[in-house]
Amino acid sequence: MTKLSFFLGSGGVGKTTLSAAYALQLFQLNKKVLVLTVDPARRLAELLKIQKSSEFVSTVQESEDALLDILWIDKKNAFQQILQKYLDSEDKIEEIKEHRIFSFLENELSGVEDYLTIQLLVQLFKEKKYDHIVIDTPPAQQSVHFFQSAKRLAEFFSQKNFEFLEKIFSKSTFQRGVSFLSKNIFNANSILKKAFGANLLTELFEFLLLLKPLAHHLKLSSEHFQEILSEENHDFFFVLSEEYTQLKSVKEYCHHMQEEGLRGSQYCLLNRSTSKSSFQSIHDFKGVLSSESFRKLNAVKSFHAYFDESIQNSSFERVVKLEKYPEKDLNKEKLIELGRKTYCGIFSE
Amino acid sequence: MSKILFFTGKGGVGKSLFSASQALQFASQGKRVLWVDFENSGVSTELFQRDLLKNTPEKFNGLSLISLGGRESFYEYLETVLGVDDESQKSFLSSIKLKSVDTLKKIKSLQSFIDLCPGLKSIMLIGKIIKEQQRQKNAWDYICVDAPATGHFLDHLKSFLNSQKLFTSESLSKKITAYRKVLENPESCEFQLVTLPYDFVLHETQLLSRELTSLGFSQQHLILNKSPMNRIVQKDQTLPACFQVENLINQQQQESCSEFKAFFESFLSLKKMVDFGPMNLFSLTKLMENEL
Repeated sequence: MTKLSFFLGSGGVGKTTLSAAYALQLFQLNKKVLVLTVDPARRLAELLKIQKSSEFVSTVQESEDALLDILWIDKKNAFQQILQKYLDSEDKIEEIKEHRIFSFLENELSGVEDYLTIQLLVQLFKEKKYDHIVIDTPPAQQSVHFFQSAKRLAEFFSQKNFEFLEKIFSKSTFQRGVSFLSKNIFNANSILKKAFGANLLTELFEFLLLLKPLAHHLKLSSEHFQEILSEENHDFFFVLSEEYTQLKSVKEYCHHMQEEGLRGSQYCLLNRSTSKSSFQSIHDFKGVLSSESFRKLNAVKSFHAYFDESIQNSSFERVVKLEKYPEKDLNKEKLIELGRKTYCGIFSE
Repeated sequence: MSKILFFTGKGGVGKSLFSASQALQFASQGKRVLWVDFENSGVSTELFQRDLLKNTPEKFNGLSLISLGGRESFYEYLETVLGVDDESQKSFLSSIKLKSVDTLKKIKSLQSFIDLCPGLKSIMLIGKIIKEQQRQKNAWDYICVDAPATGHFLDHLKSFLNSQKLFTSESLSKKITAYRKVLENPESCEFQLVTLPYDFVLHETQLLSRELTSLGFSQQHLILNKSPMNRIVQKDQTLPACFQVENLINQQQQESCSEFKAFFESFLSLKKMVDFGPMNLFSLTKLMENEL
């Protein structure tokens, strides 16, 4: 079975770097690995020294037994893929793509990646091609959206909801009057017409109708994703850096994920941690250190005391401190080393 | 005129801390300040030890805090659309047999529309901020917005700018044109880009800056957080190995900063914040007051 490894945390803590490092380490262990980022940033490709291609999946490295692939989440590509998978005729696909609402959906909207990523993940999970899929999630708040998006999508495409929207938007509502509609729908419709004008609603409805054949499939895969997530097999890595604000949020976030029904193992990674020996020996070197460095190291020291205390009673199976590494020229060797440290810190006895 | 300050940048650079710290400083100078959590990220719990209700302002140390939600901002928009005066609002509501705007909020099908309609949230959130900027009575001097990270913020801005094409309603379309002018005017809106002295963060800031300019927002300021210290630990063989990594990172950061010098100078202003280790809002604000 494919094992999913999620890297979660606030922005800028090094989720992408650690995802890349971890994926490289799994490759070193002769696994077939796919790595992907839901964040629109280009960092992952930069780290793995690979050019973004128009392909869906590019191979970073391969050997006899092992494979390291990267999946590109590209709105245009992914839409195309999904349409082709679920719609039988080219004409229908063209019709959707030429619709005014579609070009809006495709180009300008935030959050579309979430839905698409989930569709793709389910597909890849079924194919069983990979031993591991490493997922670099969006920053904290957005990743909650990410995990909920399967549920929301399933809800949206539920038969009941679809009928509801159809009634609100249908042309007959505008043409035939509203006597046959329930009061609730009639109200919503009037309000939206007043707010946006009738044209938009008609257009949205047309577009919904075009998408209708997809509904059943999308709903099924959204439900499937929820099932996958509720299995105990997967790993969740919560990444944070030496900041007070993150400490509290990481614990709350972890709790939140459990409430969302995630069952896998949870680990905590304190990334770019100041080495223990350096903040222990600050007093011995007081004269040599500049006053700023002295002050900073003292602040770091009290942070670690606070961190150790507050992480003790948490539900993390392991807490690993990863020492600082220079970000500049982070080449493959250094990444592999970082991946090895992460892996060993978590899984060694 | 009141001024909107959007704090943005790559994730984890300190947007929230700086937006809040700047707001506190303005407030201590006697200015009327509104601090905005752009999309109810809940960051106020960490910053101010306050859980904010959506779209409900709260007082804190001389400033007002607000956390915005998509739905709530939409309802506020509706109230203005439904009628300029109470009379026309009532007549519309009674024509669809609703008693008040509150009953309207309970309509489930309307709620699902707001959640699902593409781009609607971006327009409502940005619209709400501009509405605050245009308040006549009890106007704010400054509105400090803790905006989302680079890509997400750009998506919101683009959705907002493009929404004119989507929403054919005349009144909404006109409004968006007017709002755009507010965002483009350096007198009424500024973009504060927060960054860190790492190559890849600086690169992303460069891209962000270019994109903002191409969208018509060139009034940008730069805040370099965790700026390397001037008197760094000198590379000294007598120091133990544990300090060497720290030192190497410091030197690399200084190199990066000098490589990006021209980029730094392209901003209207540059603020440098020295790295003094883990911080909270109050230690940062105190530090900034001392620095200035």
